[in-house]
Amino acid sequence: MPQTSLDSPANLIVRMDNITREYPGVIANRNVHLHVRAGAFHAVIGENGAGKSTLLNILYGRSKPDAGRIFIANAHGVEEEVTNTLNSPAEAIRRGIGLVSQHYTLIPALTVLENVMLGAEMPILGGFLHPRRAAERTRELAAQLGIESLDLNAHAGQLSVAAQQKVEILKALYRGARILLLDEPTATLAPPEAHALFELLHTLAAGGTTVVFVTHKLRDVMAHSDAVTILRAGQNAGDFRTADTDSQELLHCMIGGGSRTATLLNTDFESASDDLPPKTARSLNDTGIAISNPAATAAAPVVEAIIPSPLLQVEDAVIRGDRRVIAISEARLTVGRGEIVGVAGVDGSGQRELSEAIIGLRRFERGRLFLEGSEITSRTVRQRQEAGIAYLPEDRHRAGMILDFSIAENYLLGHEDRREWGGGITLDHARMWNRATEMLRRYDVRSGTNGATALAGTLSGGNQQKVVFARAMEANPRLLVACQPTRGLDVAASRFVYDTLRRARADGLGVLLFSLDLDEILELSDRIAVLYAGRVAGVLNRHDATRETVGALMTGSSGSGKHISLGAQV
Amino acid sequence: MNGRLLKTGRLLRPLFAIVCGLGIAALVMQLSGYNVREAYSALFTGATGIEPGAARGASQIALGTLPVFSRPYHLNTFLLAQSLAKSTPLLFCGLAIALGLRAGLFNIGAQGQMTVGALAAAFVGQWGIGKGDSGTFPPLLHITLVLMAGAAAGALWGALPGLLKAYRGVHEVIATIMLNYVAINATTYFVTHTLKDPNSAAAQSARIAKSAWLAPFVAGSNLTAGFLLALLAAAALAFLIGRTSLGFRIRAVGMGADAAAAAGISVPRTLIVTMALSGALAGLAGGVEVVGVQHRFIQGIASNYGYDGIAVALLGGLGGGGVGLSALFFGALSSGAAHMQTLTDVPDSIAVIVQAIVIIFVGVRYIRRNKRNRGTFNLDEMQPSGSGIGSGKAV
Amino acid sequence: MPTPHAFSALQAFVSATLYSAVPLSIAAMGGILSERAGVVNIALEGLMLTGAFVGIVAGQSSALFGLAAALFAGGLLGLLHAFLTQKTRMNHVVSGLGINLLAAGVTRYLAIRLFPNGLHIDGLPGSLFLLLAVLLPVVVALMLSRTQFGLRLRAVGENPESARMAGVSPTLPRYVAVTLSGVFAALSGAYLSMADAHTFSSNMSAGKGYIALAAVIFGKWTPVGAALGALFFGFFYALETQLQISGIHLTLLGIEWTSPFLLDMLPYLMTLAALVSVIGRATPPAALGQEE
Repeated sequence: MPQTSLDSPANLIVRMDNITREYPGVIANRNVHLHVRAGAFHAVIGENGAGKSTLLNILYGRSKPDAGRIFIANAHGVEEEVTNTLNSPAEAIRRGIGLVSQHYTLIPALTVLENVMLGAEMPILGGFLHPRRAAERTRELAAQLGIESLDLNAHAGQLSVAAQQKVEILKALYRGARILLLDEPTATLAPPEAHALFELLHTLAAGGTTVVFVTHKLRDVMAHSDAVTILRAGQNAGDFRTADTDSQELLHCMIGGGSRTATLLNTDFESASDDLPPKTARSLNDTGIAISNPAATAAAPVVEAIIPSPLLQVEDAVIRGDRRVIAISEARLTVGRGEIVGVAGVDGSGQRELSEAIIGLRRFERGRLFLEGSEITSRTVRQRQEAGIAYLPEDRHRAGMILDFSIAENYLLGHEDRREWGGGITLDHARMWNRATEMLRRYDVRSGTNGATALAGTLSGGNQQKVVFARAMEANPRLLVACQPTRGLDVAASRFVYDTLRRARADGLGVLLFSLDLDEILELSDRIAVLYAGRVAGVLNRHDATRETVGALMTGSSGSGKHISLGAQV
Repeated sequence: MNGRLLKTGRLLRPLFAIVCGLGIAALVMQLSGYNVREAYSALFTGATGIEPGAARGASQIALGTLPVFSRPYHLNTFLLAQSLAKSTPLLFCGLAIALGLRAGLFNIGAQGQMTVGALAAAFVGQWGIGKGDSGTFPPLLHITLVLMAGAAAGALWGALPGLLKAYRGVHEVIATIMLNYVAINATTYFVTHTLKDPNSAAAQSARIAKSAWLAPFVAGSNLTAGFLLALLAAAALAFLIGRTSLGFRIRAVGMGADAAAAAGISVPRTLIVTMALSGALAGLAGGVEVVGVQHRFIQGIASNYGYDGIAVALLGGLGGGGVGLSALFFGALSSGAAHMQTLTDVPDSIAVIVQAIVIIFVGVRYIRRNKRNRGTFNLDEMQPSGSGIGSGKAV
Repeated sequence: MPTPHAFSALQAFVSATLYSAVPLSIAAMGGILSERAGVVNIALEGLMLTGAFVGIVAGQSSALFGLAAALFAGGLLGLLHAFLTQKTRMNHVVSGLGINLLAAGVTRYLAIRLFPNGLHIDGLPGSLFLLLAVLLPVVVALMLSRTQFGLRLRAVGENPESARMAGVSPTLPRYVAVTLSGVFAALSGAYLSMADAHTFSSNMSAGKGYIALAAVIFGKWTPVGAALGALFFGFFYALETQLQISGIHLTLLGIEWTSPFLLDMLPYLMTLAALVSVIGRATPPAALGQEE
């Protein structure tokens, strides 16, 4: 059974008690505590939306708790209350806290050295910088971290993601951080990089730095932490010494009875636990056999049965990302009628670029795109919609709807040229409202007393997603491109999304599901395409896909490949 | 923009800004030793045409004895007409800027677009000119052609920064400021060279044919059918924004460019079309100034209307009706201030001070509404979400 | 062989170029400070006008006192721009326009009220401002690249949230930068009235604030680049004047290329070209004009 607290205040370096933080409509933290021993390697785990990042942000002074108390031990080990003084990151830094946030905060236009110095310049007389002294100190620290090769005069924007993260850590240490907070540090790293990161963190911990890292990867917790705090739905769900527990127990605490994962996925805990001992993980990482030629392996029967006249066909797509770098290269993919094809991959592996190129928001640098046999590579977004592609964007608030538009207006969005929707050169408001009202009824959207005139921004996330889905489905599409469709949704809303996607499949639609949530991919997909570093690393039939096989492909570290059957054309 | 969000304080805040503007200006006059009561009563007369005293002559309409003041008043139709005439270009330019803001574009370039429009209008206005400036064209046709030329030139000049924004990521504020100066210098070049008035040393074009003249409603005034056209434009803008799919797309791009793009709306095209329409409205202001007031292009024909239009749009809250009221206010203020200066010696730049204070107070009013969420119509960013100023890519 | 006459003409031309560039260069430094900190500053125009006016009025008995008063007034108005954009989160362009109008209205009003027949001042030597126009870009460049304040200012202009995460509050650098921007613009304005025209006339800045802004963009938001841009623009002014004095006309293809109006267009066209050009395009600070 989870204990409430493990340690007496005496040897704690961080003590957060009864922390409550409410955002409009969401209680991110409710009476949460976090007790971290000095010198600990402490993991904070929980599902998406469990309140981990909020807790970290409070500890770093970025957001104020509505209630609760915070104590930090000073350099002499004396505990001081900082509840009222921890108002800014500057104050947190002063107290010896460093944060490596999930979204790196290096400023691309500044050099590495400038980024490191910023806020801790220690100027000489007249406010002048002393770059040489700063560089010496930085190099010293870099040597300790084993990253001597770092070019301090390079612009931060030129660094790789992994290198940026190291600079972030360097930055924190430069400021004299005794407590290093890391928010999902391995989310965007390839396994060997993640491995290197943990080695670095262990070095730091050995030198006396307290490490607190937030993750939802049990594997990392079991392999690296010595203490664990579990959050679930904004509340504490257990504290453990890692040595005294196992991943199954942690998982149980993490997802509990009412968890989304448990309810929706019906996956047994054994396979979901991802409970690989560190050694296995390392050996997987180290093998790293790249899949050179996906087409070489024979297609699985299921694939064959569907492929003859694919609904959607991506041929040798080359797509550039935001910074003009190649984000997708030589990607081939097909989607048949009545199947859900999941596209898995770690963040940054090209999912977003591929989905945007398919719906027409991004250009195909090379390659071709076919819908039902006719080429649509150079069609506009609107033309592709008319040809039967519907899009469920990943960011509901930004790309899915316009929050200051009414529900009815959002419902019209994308159909504003169509008479039957109330569009046309001049709008037919009556028809628009009627249609929207009818949609609200059919999709059971709770919009309050204002009905279709309510602003979209006033709806809950689930109801917003229903409007976005309704708009897409009512256009009678043939292909649904769904991106991260359940991100940020609660159980009921996620179930609606799953049901809708399954119904679409039953109705003969093709569904292309982009998700970072591997469980979601495994749950819904008939076939799974795995992206790794912008390439389709493999396509698996659902029967052949396990967390391990997909995971290995996702991280470019696929082993023997004996579980992996690669679709020929796909 | 959906009305309800704005309802609270929709009238209150602009009125508050106006009261503050007039109040602070009164304080300034008081402190500098002017008689505020006298000055403001002259300003009021100049703004509304309501004067004390019995009506005399055909242009004055008796109002009888007004309550409270217990002395006879009359309406000086000439003064009222001048006041409304002053509102005309302000309304066009205000509409131009309001339309741009609907798409999240801050069109500082109405000044240049109006100037270019005026030159094109003056050029077409000289078609078919005969002896004594008589024209061979049927007046209605000629005036239509002239105004269309003005609108078209303004549209082209407006579309240019739209193009730069859509395809090169150049921020429209910078581009339009630059293009204003280009327009002003280029037009002046034309009227000192190829289009120069042969009978004058001034930088101006020759007079347009009489067939392209609009007759004033009140003798000697500048109030013409151009004013009605401006009102019509306000109604058209309200219709466009609220009732057409183009207006819907413009609002969608302004409030959520990413969502609009994902829904298949071409953001670059919408930006360009919006800027062209915005420029056309400003160009019409120039055209009306030529056919109704100057009957030629003169250097500085746009006065400061293009910039004043920004105050008009901000005070008017971007709706056709609001911008209309706002233009009437600023037209009256400017006209009234001129009247005040002749009667009381108080410099008419007091009107500029009022306008500055109004802009500042109305500018502040957008704070709360926009803090609610990002990626929506946002005067604080003045651009579609997702497109950083001068960001390298088209939105 | 250059004749003495040609030599003195050249000297005059160089001098005209330099002095045309002086107000642009100084004001552009103000623009750089503000914009590198992330605050769009089209208020330069109004700030210049304010400096020009206050310098004359306060400088009647002591020119240096007038200069100090001008700088103070500019700083105050700059502070207002900082307050409006940072505290009330007003759109930077709206705030700038408001300040420009306020400056135009108040200075004209007061000029008519206080000295309807004009006001002369012996003022200050132009060479003083020339010196400043040369020194300031160097000082600003050093400050931006070599000082703590400069580093923080740049960080805040690129990404205020990142700066905050690094322990730097964006508020102070922005307030200081925009206030200083007002001081610099006022200095430039003081040159116009106290050293150049020796009098004040309403709207005497005549768009120079906007050209200074153009120089900032033309110089890709770098101090030395902006100063060179100012020099470049100054060259065209001098050229224009010189052409007018000497009565040279060059007409080709039906266009009179020597027309002052065409020459006046050049700074703006070149700035637009700098923004559009494919190679070496001018890119503004990443967080310019954005809310934090």
